[in-house]
Amino acid sequence: MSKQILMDSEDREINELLDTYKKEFSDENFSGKTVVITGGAKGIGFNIARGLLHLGAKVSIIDKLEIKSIAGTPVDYYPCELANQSELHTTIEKILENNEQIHGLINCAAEFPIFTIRDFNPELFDRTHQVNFKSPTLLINKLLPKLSNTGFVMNVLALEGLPFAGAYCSSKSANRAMMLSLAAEEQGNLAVFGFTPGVVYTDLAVDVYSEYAKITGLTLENFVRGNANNPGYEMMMPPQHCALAALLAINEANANHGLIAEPFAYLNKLGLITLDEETNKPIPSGGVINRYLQEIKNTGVYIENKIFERTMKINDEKEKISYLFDELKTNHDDITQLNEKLSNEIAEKDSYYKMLMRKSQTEALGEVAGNIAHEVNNPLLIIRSASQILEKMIENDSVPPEKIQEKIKTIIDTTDRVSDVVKSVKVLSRDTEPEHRTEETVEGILKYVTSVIDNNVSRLNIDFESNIETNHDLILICKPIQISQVLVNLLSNAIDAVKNIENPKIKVSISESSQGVLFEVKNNGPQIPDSIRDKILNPFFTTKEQEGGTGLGLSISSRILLDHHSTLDFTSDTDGTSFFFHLNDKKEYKKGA
Amino acid sequence: MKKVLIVDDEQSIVELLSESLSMSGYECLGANSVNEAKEILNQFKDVNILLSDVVMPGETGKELVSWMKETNYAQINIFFMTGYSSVDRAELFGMGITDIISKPFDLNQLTSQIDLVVQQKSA
Repeated sequence: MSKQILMDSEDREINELLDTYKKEFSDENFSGKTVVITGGAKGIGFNIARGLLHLGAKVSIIDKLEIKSIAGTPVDYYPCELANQSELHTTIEKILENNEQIHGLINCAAEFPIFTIRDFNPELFDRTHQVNFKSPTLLINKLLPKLSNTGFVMNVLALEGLPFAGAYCSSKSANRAMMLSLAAEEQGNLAVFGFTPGVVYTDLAVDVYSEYAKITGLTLENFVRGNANNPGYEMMMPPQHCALAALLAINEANANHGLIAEPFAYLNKLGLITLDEETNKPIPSGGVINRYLQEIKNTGVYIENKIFERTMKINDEKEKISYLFDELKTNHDDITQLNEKLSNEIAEKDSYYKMLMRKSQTEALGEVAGNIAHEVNNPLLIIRSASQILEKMIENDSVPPEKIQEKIKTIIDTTDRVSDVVKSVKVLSRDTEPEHRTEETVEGILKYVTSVIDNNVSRLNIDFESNIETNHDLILICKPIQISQVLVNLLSNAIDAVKNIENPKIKVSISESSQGVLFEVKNNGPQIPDSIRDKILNPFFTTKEQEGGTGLGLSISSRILLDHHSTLDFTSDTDGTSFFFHLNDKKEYKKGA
Repeated sequence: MKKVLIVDDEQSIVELLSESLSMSGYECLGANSVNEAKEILNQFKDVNILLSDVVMPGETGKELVSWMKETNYAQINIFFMTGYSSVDRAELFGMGITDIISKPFDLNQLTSQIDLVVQQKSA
């Protein structure tokens, strides 16, 4: 990073500046005077040394860096590592040897290690104190005897409280404290004072600020711009300005005795900078570095807090998710269980349904069997009675021929009647469990069905009609008992529908349509209400709970028809209701001659 | 007196039984339903035997019997005839009937049973 960027611009070197402001200086303060300066090989020290030379002083430089002359003018160079006590002692002896009198001593050399008290480096700490405080003190002590009482001691000092600069600041503060004591002791004798330079463009400053910039994450330029808080300067102070001010301070050393001089007032007076109310503020103790670090710390804490908050929230959410997951699992298990239950129940219902179907079949059979008993026993009684009467007549020898004929006719007719009944029994006598598809005539089915409901119909005085209107004589391939059961069910419902109305009528008609053989059971009973139209085929739905209706009839009939690839349907209006279905597995047959 | 009321929804049976019992000296009246039977009983008042089917359209023989027991016909001997095997005989006997016979039966046997009852009454 170049000088031009980090430093306010100053093209003139110290000698030029001194020439410009020549009249500020009293010749007697400098000309021919010997001044010893530590750290005069570079930076602020070098510029002061150069200025002293330009003002006519004799300069002795103590520095670990070699410097033999400045701008052609030779200097007395004493190589010395100030951290090294024995070297220092040797150097001091040499200086005392070479000089009768010394006018001034400037302690400018310094070391500035960067570490925190937390991450302490004890050796470096001690070394820093040695270089910045103890060695200067020793130097003062040893040279005091040779220092004229018109002379001066100037210690370059620093501000306190800079972070990472505990070693440097404490050593410089110790130095200041020592200097103040010295000033008190040498009151009326030497001029003893301190000098705080501000932020000056030197290798040391650049090194230190580079570290600070790194810590704050700013670029060096931005950090310097924001933090090199020199009143009157934007960036770092040019070292030649600093040297100029230092020389001006030395120029009025007595006035500065026991004080700590600053460059800004001097430079302002010369017009090199402009101080206003705003800028003429002391550099805050600790500097902006502290603020930054505090801010970083705060931000760090803030971020930490936020992270903590977020982590807690995430943990919360994780817990919630875990809990919900457990619930989900439980629900899933519940659902699985319920599914099983449901499957079982469906299987149960299915077998129950089948059982009910068988039962209703059996009941129907029972009813039919009862009916048939009656249907056979009455005719048998008639035949027997007629026969026994004939017998008696023969016994009594009273056998009128018309009577005989009459009785015989009765017997024959009644026998035929029984024959019809037997035909319908044939339908029953088939294998019912399970019923197989077989061939059955339409007539056969109708006859059987009629025989079952005949009694009820006549008992209730219902006008009952049945007819077959097919073009051909038809055989159905079906399960006849089941189809008969359907018709009986429909007729039973029709009877219930009309039994309490005037002129009850029921008609069963079997005809042929495009869809096959159409079976219809019509009645003139009341209309089926809209509200129950879509329920009446449902299992267990009944309007006849009072009479013990199970609500199974129509659902079983539907099922039977489904088995026959057919569906039960109905129409109902104010004229009456008709339930109907088609069977189309049929073939024609011709009745035997 | 030997007056028999024969009740059956099947007219042929009424006629044949009537013919047979007449040949054995009974005066026979016939009805095809419980309602008709009630009318006849009220009309003639001197029927001593009832021969009736149990299961008929309209009111049943059982209902006829309970009606008779509550009125002045309680002393009439009641014979039930039935083509159903499922008739509750215990219940009917409990109501105080004389006998139940299953169709088809022997006319001579029926006649003997009725004769017996009539004789017992007059004895």
